[in-house]
Amino acid sequence: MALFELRRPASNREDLEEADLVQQVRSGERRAQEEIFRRYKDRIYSLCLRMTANRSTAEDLTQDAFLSLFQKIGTFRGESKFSSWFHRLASNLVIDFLRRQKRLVFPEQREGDEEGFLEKLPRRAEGSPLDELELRRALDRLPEGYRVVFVLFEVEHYSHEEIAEMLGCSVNTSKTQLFKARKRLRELL
Amino acid sequence: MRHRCEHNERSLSLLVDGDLAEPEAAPLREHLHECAGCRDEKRRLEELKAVAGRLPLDEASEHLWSRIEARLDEAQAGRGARRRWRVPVLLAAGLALFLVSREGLRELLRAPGPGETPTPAAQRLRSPEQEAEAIGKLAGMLRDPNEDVRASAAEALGLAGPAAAAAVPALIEALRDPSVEVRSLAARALGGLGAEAKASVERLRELQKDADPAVREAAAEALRKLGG
Repeated sequence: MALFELRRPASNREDLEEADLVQQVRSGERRAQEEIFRRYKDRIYSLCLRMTANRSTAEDLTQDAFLSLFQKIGTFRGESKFSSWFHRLASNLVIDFLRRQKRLVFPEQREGDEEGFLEKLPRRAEGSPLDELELRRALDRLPEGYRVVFVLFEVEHYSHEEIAEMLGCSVNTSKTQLFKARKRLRELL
Repeated sequence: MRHRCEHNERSLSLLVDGDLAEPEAAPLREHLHECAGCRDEKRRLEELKAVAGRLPLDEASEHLWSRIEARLDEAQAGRGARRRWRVPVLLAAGLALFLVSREGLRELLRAPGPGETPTPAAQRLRSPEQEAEAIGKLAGMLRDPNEDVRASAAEALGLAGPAAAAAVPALIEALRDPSVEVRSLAARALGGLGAEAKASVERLRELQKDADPAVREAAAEALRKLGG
């Protein structure tokens, strides 16, 4: 058995190890909960930060995402990868938060909000390559409606069908918001 | 900045995602051969996509764990406290529903006088209508948005014994509850109902494959009692 384990591809071994860990989390073992936190904290925090563009809010939402995970782990049936399930749970939590704050509106509903918004970033030299820091700064300046769709599609790699389901909008709206987000980003960068 | 054909912007956005249907994609590709502005736009969209795909992770503060752990401790302490009062409170609530009035309650609690034969007051004061009403209320609570309320209702129905037969459909529905605790308690309640709960056998069999060991065990136990 040990030899067989050693010959397994690394990703398989990690999956198995994670399945054990998830089982322990399900039993409420504190050490397993802490290990899951260590493994996922940066991924979940980054997701929350990219969607909200606010560090303190992102920390609060990360905390809530882990508490929600520990509470709802019993509903994880292993039909998808644990990481996908957890990311979806965290994404929905952020979406709910933005909705409650009434911040998840698309820019056509809040015209006039963006006065001077294009002037806030220094212009890049024509033809210079885009870097990650610049994109992050520009993302922070997008209205939530655009930013959330952009992050869900380009960073979290959800399909438009999945995004439409999560946001309660049509697939076409998701595509349009992504196009508008890109257009704004292109103008900003 | 080079001229871009604005009417192509949305199509270009779809094209870089491989999301543009061929009848529209083919002429756009033709156009790209001729239009430097659109070619430039496409290249920039692809660059945007590539950079977004490799955004580095931000590091979450280590202090977050202590905050999470404190909340877990609080929740655990709260659960312990709730467990201590849940059943008495529900029994009291059930009694309140079963009993007609304060006079009834006083009668129930009154110690029998000398030479007086104690009559089981609960039997006198409990009418089938009140019993049905209480069971109906508990069955309705199985759909409450609060997990604790649903769990309490399932637990109370388990304690109500054969009187809970009317709640069998609601209990079967509760076997699909997202909460592990509610699923387990609903399975146990059904197990205690014997022949009245035969309709739940199929769903209990499915529940033996539940991801949670406690739920699987409760389902197996209930099936043993139901002879399923």
